Parts: sequence; structure tokens; C-alpha cells
Amino acid sequence: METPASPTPAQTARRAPAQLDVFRYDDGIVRMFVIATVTWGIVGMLVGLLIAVQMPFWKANLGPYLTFGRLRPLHTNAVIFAFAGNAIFAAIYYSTQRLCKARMFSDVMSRVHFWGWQAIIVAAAITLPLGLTTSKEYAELEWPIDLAITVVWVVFAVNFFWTLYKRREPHMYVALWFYIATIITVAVLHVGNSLAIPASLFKSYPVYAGVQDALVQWWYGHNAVAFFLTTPFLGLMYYFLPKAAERPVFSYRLSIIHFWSLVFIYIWAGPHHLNYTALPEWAATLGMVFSVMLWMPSWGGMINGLFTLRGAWYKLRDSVVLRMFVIGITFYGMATFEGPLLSVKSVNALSHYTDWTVAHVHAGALGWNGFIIFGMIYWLVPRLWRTELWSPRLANWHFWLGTLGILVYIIPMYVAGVTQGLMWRAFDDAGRLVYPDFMETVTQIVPLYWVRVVGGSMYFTGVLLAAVNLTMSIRNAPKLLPDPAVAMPLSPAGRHGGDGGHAALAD
Amino acid sequence: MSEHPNPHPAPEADEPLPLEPTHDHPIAGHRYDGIREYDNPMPRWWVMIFWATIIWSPLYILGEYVFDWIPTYSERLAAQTERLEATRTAYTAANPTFSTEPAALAEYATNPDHAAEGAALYATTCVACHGDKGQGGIGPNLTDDYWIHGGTPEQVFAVITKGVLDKGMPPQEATLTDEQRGQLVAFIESIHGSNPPGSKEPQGDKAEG
Amino acid sequence: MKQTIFRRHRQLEGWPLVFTILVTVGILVGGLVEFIPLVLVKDNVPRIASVKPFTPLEAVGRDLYIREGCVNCHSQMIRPFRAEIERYGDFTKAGETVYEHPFLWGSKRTGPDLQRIGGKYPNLWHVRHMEDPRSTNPQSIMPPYAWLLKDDLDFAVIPGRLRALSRVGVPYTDAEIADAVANAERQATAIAQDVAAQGGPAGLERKEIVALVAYLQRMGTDVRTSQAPAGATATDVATPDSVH
Repeated sequence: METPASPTPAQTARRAPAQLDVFRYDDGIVRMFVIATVTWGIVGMLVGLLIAVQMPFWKANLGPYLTFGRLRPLHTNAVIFAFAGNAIFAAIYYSTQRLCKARMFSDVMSRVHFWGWQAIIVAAAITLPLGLTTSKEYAELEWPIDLAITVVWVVFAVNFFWTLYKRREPHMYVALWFYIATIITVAVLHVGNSLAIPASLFKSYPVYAGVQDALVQWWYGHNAVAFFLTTPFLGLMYYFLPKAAERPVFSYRLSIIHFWSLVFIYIWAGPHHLNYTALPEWAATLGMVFSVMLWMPSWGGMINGLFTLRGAWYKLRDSVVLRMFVIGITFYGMATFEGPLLSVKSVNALSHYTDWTVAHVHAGALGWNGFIIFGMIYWLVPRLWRTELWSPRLANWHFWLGTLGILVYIIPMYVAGVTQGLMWRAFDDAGRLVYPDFMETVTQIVPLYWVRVVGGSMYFTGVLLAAVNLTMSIRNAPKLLPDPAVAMPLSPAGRHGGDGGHAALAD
Repeated sequence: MSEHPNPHPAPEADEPLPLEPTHDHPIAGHRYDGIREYDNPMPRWWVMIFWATIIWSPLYILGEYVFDWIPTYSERLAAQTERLEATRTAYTAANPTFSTEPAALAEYATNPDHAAEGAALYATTCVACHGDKGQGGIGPNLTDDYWIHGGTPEQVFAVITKGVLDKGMPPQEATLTDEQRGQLVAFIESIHGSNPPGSKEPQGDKAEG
Repeated sequence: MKQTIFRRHRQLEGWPLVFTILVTVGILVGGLVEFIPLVLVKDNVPRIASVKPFTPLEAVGRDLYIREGCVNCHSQMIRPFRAEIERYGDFTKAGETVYEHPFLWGSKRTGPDLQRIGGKYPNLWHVRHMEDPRSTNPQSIMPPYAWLLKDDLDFAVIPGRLRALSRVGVPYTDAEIADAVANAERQATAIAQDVAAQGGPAGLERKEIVALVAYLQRMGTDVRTSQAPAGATATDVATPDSVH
């Protein structure tokens, strides 16, 4: 009778708070992805600048390997998969560990993911100038590289999902929902669109032909924008924006509705890239109406982002991070309004095949993706390297050069797009084409191509400033950067309320 | 459904979400790495526009395929074609008809004003193949006495109009009016015998130009 | 009802597996609803009897078109608009694309559409134009592709390419594949002789340019009604149904 009954775990926790579950986040992998992001960002945008010069100035096409036709896919692949891709991985590895209260499942898998992905990018940078391409937009890489992408993506997925499985946080925050959607959908799209029969080591033919190939390609192409450049960035925004603003997220209910509607509706919208083509009209119509229905689900993310800043707008004055987020989210809102607009058949009839598309894409890529990425990096650098940002002034210059650069880029492209679209369709009083010679419609917009080069250079200069700032900050960082340790009590009482129960340990 | 094997016991149930959204109250239990969430209602305008697009979509599809409110590709094209035909008819009616009779054409082709108009057209349409002075290049020399398809104004006019597809001469029927093609004939007549530098060797049969 | 959705969702947030399965189902629906009918319902891509697979030389010429990234600036898809039909020729029909692995419709027209370029210019025009686009159009902004006139065409790859194409459904017979190299050489010689006869450079029969020219001259010609020139089809009041 004297022997005390063994205590329940809850009692233990209450009596012995010293019993702690201690673990460390892997921040090394995040640092690697951040550096890769900035490095490939410079490469991708430099190629972009070169092809921007090649358009008005043909002499900038250098030999077979550096012509526009071979470099344009290199530019798109580099900025999408290398620049934005590495940024997504940095964001996911940083925030998933913290949202799950768990280290990534496997450090080895994290490194295989990192080095595998960089190897794929290098392979792309070699094969595309050699003319080894499938020609399918944003899926130009040939089949051996496609296989490597699949393997690396599976490693990433296993690592991610196993981290979710062993999480210490009972519920998944909205950022994780978006990461799940990203990982699953990108896998499905990549495999579905890359099915091909090899003819040799670097030549293959897709299993689909003509109309079917077009539909599959734009199911992929459109949803690469959706699930590589939108959903992971929304997840990123849901983590880093409230962190930087130190404000609660505006509406949980809105998160739920806009997440599920976005994920379900986005996938249908692909055929709007094929309006008025030989694709059967019913499919284009479906693509169009779903694009219009996509407008509000997209804006749900913008609202939740901007409204989270209610009561915190004054912080923008001193925070380049928040300012970049705000500009990024604003461009997201513009681009996701413009997207449905461009999918409407009568608008598309004018805009398609012109530089309007290019303007639209770069409003999204430079504004939304680019600024969200650099906002995140400016927030992460002091935390990952435990040092101050080397020069907030330089970051401020980056912000202004970038913002103006985007405008100087997209405005001439809108003008060029509408001008050319109208010239192509103009009939005179006699019922003849006013500009039967295609050349007339090109010479008209060549000056605007030069203005675009100026805008792009401004944006690129901003990115160079960021690289200098990052490098100098890292040089000031302490030599040893141990992984941050976290302790949580092993008790249900401690679990409730999440943060309340743990404290970061001093390193 | 407990599927996670973490070392901690299953979480206690959260406090249920309030039935009606609250304004700017962080939701109990929603804390993620320090991030909290409000239970604010979705903006009304957002919900309304979303519903509007959802209702509009089936209506658009029905409008296209059932009720005929929205023209299909072929209906749009037919309407465009009809409009264009009407424009062309009206233009022909309003403007004195350009006679393509051989005699009228020959007469028209001798006027230097018409040749000057034709020179401008030649510079955009023909120069790539026939050279800037008609000396020939990919296409034959237009200044000599030799013609593959005949050198009378009527014959030249016909070649410009219908093209010579197997030799790569594109037809200009759809891009130039009868009168514009007449002006080109006038220009070609005007450079006959000019023997510009770099003239291509004769092709075809000798004829009076 | 609405409230229970939000409360239920809270449970879902604790079940990553169920959550992931629901997301997967959600993203599969749209794609499948659009793709499956396109494959199963034959009416969606009406066959056109006159559309035939590319010849061996044209097929490798198409691969060069892919290699050089022509599709980045040139579409092959004339839309059913009066202005496009007047400019380029009759609009593209679904049935014309059945042997296109991959499709090359393009998404940007920095240069003109090429769907009906076949037969529009002489072979020599294409040779000169690829060598130096300014020679045929002084204001052109297109890059030169002079190496196509210098680099030898690899005829040896042709049978392997055709075999891969036949595996994805292009009806090349074994006999055609066996004869492919000879067939390509015949067509290349004919084009090279024609170029030389028109006053162009001689000795192009084994150069890459002849394959590209063969492909360019084939483009969009399968549905051209005999005799009628390219422009003439443009004035027909063709509707998407007219070829079915």
C-alpha cells in the first residue's frame, strides 16, 4: 500500500517539467537553398536580359548555341525551376520544420534533394543550348533529365511527408496545405506531360499527338504556373507574412474556402491557352469558364495576405521585407485578375500570340514570385546566419529599382501587345488588310523591345544588389552556426496551445 | 484515425470554432510557430463575386451550346466573313470600278503617276525576290525582254493576282486591290529595259514587254 | 451546415494522409474530365484522308525545327478569324495535326505564323532566308542560321527516329523504315538540285538545310485543294465543319 501508483504521463509532466523532448531544426539545408536561389536567379535573369536584347538586335544571337530559340527555354527553365524552385525549397524546409515542430525526416534526403536539383539545373543549362529539347514549353528537358527530376521529386516528397507524419504539432497550418498540393500536383503534371518514347539518349517523341499533345501540354503548362509559381508561394506567404508583420492571419475560414476552390478549379483552366485553336471548342470553353471562376479563389489569397497587415501598415516604413511582400501580393492580385480576363475568348483573340502575354507573365514572375522571394530572403538572412543584414539601405535600393523596373518592363510590353494585336486584324475601307506585310507590325514595336531591356536591366541590377548584400551579410556571420534547438514538454498539457509549451534553447 | 506516431499523446480536442465568425478574435488553439489566426468572416463582396462567377459559368456553356446566345467559332467566322464581303461590295460600289480589260489595263499602265504608286508597293511586296530595281534574285529579272509567263500588262497582272505556286510566286489577290495590282503592272512596265546592275540572266521567252 | 464544414476541416488538418488523398482527387478531376473525352470521342479530332505522315527527310527536318527552337517565335496555328485567313491562309484543322509528335502550335508570334508556309516560296528563298534573313527581308529581326548550310545532316539517325515515331502511333511500315535513308537522300538530292538550278549554292544535298526546307515546304499543304493556290482557299467561306 505504501508503494505509490506509477504516475500518469500527465502527472509526470506536471511534476517534472524537466522531462523535455529536445530536437534541432536543420537550418543548414535552408542556407544552401537560399544561396542557390540567388545564384540561379542571377544566371536566369542574365539569360533573360540577353534574349531581351536579341529581340530588337539580332546580332546579339551568337552562333548556334546562343540563339534566341535555344536560350529562351533556358531562361524560362532557369527562372522557374532554378530561381523560384530553390526559393520554394528554402521556404518549405524552413517553415515545415517549424510548423511541424520537427526536424526534417532525413538530412541525407534533404541533401540528395539539394544536390540532385542543382545537377538537374546544370544539365538543363548544358543541354538546352545544345538544342536538346522536347520543345514543350517549361518541359523542354529531354527524357533522362525528366527521369532525374522524377527521382529527386520523390525523394523530396518522402522527406516532406515523413516529416508531416512525425510532427509534434497536432494540426497542419494552412501553409502546409499548400505545400501538400504543390508536391502532389507537380508530380502528377510532370509525369503526365513527359510521357515519351525515346529515339536515342537525348531525343524522344511524346506519346500524345497534335490536339491531345496540346491539351496535355497546357494542362501541364498552366498548372506549372498554378502549382509551382502560385500554391507554394501562397504557402510561403502564409508563413512568412504573419511572421514578419507579427499579426494574426486575417481569416481562417477564408483560408479553407480559397485553398480548396483554388486547388480544384485551377486544374481545369489549362485549355484557355488554346482558345480558337484546333482544340475542340467545348474544351476551350471549359477552360475559359473555370478561369473566370478562379478569379475569387485567387483573390482569397491576396485578401488574406493584405488584410493580415491591418493595423500593421505603419511597419512598412521600416521593413523592406513587408514592402516587398505588399508589392508582391499586389502584383499577384493584378495578375490573377488579368489571367481570367485573358482567358475570355474575345480578349484572347486580341492578346494571344502577342507581347501582352509576355507582360502578363512578367508581372507575375517579377512582381509576385520575385518580390515574395526577396522579401523572404531579407527576412531569413539575419535569422539563418545570425547576423544583421549588411545594408538595409542597399535593400531599399533593391526594392525601388525592382518596383520601377517591373513597371518599365511591363508597360511597353502591354503597349506592344495591344498595338500588334490591333495591327494584325486591321482592315481598310476596301476590305484589305491594312498591314499585309508582317514586318510592318514588327518594326512598329521594336523600340518598345528596347524599353523592355531598360526595365529588365533595372530589375536585374536590384537582384545584383541583393546578392552583394547577402554575400556581405554572410561574411559577417559567426563561423559556427549550430542548428537551433527546441524543447517541448512530453505532456498533453504542454501540447495545447502550441507555442506556450516550448522555448528555444540558448545555443 | 490517429495516424501520427509522435511521442506525444493525442491532442485534446480544440475548442470548437464558434458557429458564427467573430471579428478579430484569435481562434483558440490556432498557434503555429507563433502564428495565430483570426476567425473573421469572408468578405461579403468576395463571396458574392465568387457565386456570381459560379452561376455565370453554366449559363455561358448553355448559352453557347443550347440557347445560341453566344456564337461558336464557326458562327463568329461566318459573321466576320459576311461583314468583310459587305465592306468589299460597298467599296466596289462606291468607287469607280477598276477595269481589268486588257486595253484598259495597258492604258492604265502607261501613266507615270500609277507607276510611282506601284513603286511604293513594289518596295514592300516584291523586292525580296525580284531585287530592289527589278534585276531579279530568287525571282526572275523584270526589266529584260524575257518573260516566263508572258509580258503583256494583262499577263503580268494575272501572275501578280493568282501567283505561280509551283515556282513560289505568292498570289496577291487577297492582299492587294485590283487597282494596286494595276499600279504594280505600271511600275514594272516603267522599268522595262532599264538594265540595272546585277541583272539576272534572261529566263523564259523573248517577248515584247 | 456551413459551420460543420469549418469544424470538420479542423479534424482534417490533423490527418495528413486523408488531406493528401482529398487534394489528389481534387486535382485529378479537372484534367481527366477534359482529357478522356478528347481521346475516346473520335468526333473531337475528325480525320482528314489527305493528311499523311511526314516523309523521312521532313521528319528529321521537323526535328531541326524543334532543335533550333523555331516554335518560340513562330506559331503553326491559324485561328478561324477572317484577318488570319486573309494573312496566312485557311485556318488549321484538328485533323491536320494527328501525326504531330510533339505539337508545334506555339504561343507567340514574334515572326509570322508558318502553318501554310509550304509552297509559298521557292526552295532557294528558304535557303537564303535561313542563311541570312536580311537577304530576303531587310528589316527582319530573325537570327541567321547559316550553320544549317554547313553542317552535315545525320542520315543515320532517321530509321531510329521513325521507329520511335511508329511506337507512338505514326503509321510507318517496316518497309518504309528500311527504305528511310534512301528515301531521304532522294528527296534531299531533289531539293538540292532545285536550289542549285535556281541559282543558289550547289552541293547542299547532305546538309541540314535541305531537311529543314523539306519540312517547311510540306507544312500545311496536306489539306490544300489541288490547283487552288494558297490565297484562294482563303477566300472560301470555310467553317470548322466544312472539312468533317
